[in-house]
Amino acid sequence: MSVKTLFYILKRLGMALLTIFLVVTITFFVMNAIPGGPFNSEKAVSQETLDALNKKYGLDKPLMEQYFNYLKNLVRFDFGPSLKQKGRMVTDILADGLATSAKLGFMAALLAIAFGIVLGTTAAVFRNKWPDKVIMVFTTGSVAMPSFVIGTFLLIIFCLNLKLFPANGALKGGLVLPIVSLALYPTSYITRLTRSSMLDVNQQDFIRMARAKGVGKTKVIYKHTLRNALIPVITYVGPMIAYILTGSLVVEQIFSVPGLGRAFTSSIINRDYTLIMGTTILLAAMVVFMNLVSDILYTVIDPRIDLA
Amino acid sequence: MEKKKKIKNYLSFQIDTSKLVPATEDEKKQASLVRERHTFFGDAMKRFFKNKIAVVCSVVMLVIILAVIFIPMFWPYKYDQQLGILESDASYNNLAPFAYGTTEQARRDAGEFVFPHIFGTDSLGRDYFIRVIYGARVSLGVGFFASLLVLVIGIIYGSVSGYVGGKVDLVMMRIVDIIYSLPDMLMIILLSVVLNRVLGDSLTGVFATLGVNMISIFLVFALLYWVGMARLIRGQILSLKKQEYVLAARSVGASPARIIRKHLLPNCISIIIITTALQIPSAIFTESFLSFLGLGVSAPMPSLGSLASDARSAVFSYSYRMIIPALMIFIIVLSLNLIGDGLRDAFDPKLKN
Repeated sequence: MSVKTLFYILKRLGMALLTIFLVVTITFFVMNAIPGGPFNSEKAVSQETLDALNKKYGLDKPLMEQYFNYLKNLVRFDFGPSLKQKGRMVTDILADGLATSAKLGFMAALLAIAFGIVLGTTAAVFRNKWPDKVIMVFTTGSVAMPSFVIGTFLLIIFCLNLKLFPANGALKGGLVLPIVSLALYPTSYITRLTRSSMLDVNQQDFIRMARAKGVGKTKVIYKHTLRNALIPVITYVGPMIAYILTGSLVVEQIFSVPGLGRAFTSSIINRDYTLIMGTTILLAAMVVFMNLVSDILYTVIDPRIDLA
Repeated sequence: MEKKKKIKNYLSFQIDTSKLVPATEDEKKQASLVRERHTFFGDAMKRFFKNKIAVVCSVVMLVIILAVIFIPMFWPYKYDQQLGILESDASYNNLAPFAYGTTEQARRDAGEFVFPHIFGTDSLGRDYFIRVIYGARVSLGVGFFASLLVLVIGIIYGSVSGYVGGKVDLVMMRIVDIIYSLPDMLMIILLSVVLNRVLGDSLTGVFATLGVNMISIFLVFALLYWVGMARLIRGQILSLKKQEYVLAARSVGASPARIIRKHLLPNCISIIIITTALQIPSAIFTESFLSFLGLGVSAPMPSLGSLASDARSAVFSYSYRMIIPALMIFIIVLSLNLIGDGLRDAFDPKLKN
């Protein structure tokens, strides 16, 4: 690894940290701009109780002090207590949800990558023939459907009419449909990316060279075209994770999966501010981190890329 | 004055004008017919109209746009009108498509014409067809105006950054980088939650009818979504400003604002058109996503996302109420995507593969 690459990685790491810090800051001050404070929406509370509550949660201190306290706690992954789920810490709620959501997201990402590459390669190999056309129609159609629509349709078809899977994500086999509905969009995207990238690589001289040497068609595809064509796909991994994470907000709601997404949507409805902040920061950190990883991988794998 | 005598020089290459004959009308016509006037825009549109899929999608969009503009004008039901509420007649709620409430049925039996409820009614007895049409109107409106906002901010920011260059560009692009790396959907949700509470009931006039949620959607688009457009425009301007016509314009004393407006932006028009065309469906997507989370348009105003979201509670008994708005979103987004692709191929044939 050259010095230049190392410098680039350090620079990107700095940017990522700055972004996360910014997200934390924005989240904190934006949430504090809400008038009335978190306890006002409840039933009529006496002033003494309100003061006691504010004191208990440290809300009586000046805003800047609260901010620094929040930052200090954040370093220890302490997001404070949940305001609506009495006696529970936000960190615990997040940890509970993360286990399910990580499984869901990971499976969806794997599914999308595997199917995307296979479909994309097929489409590129059979360019302008019927397999290509079928695949392209499928991908064009599925990028035009929001994940909640896909999710609900799958729910209607497979849970209600065919009764193949349970409608509750907490049950056995219940994660299959959420995984499929989350993976559909990234699958289509990766398919299109792989296809166009393979068609691009196919026109390069080294492919013609390999063919001229007498390398078989299949071997050219696996050893030469695909390897080079997959480099742009790496750049999509970051955005894909972002899509899956935000997509899971609604998909988990539809299939009642007890994950992070459901914690987030219910926290929005309940106005559980500390939980909203915690979830936003956690998800944002994950998105930024995955973007960082995919960018660095991209530059490390392909030496032709100029590090600007 | 001494008159010079014409000496005929046989070696001269000069054309002897006396031998020329004026062109006949026919010949004049022919000369003008040889080549039509070709503009960049005209060529691109010609290529666009050769693309069958894109043309079909344009027609579909045109029909939808005309429908959402004109149908609410003459439709006998209103989107927020709860039929049967005056007589407190619950038979109007949850009507199946082409079914009628009791009083309507009585009027029909008497031989009177009653306008049918094509998609039935919802749980509050509102005509579902007009709600879908109105929802499509709201969704398209949000998509269009949000994209317009993105377009204006992105163009101004990107062209200033690209044209001025140097340190200003560096700082402006760092800001763009940071906003770009913020997870947009999360920030949108966060801002919508907060703006909902902060703005609350303090709105008046046009803003009040739009509703807090709608304003937060626009605000969020104005704050976060322009960065992609700004980056593209900046890249274009950077490469264009080295061209000689820019130097020429500057040397005759044109102001930077004029150079950007008259010389640089018209040359970015293809990228502006393509990006805007693809921005609209993405805005519609975002709006439907937010509506689904309950952060979209405020009731009773429907959008396609909120209609789909509302239908979810009774999805097993009235699945068509979910399918219709979902299908509308699908058709609109698909058509706009394909139109965008068609425009890209037409305006920038190099990008096609």
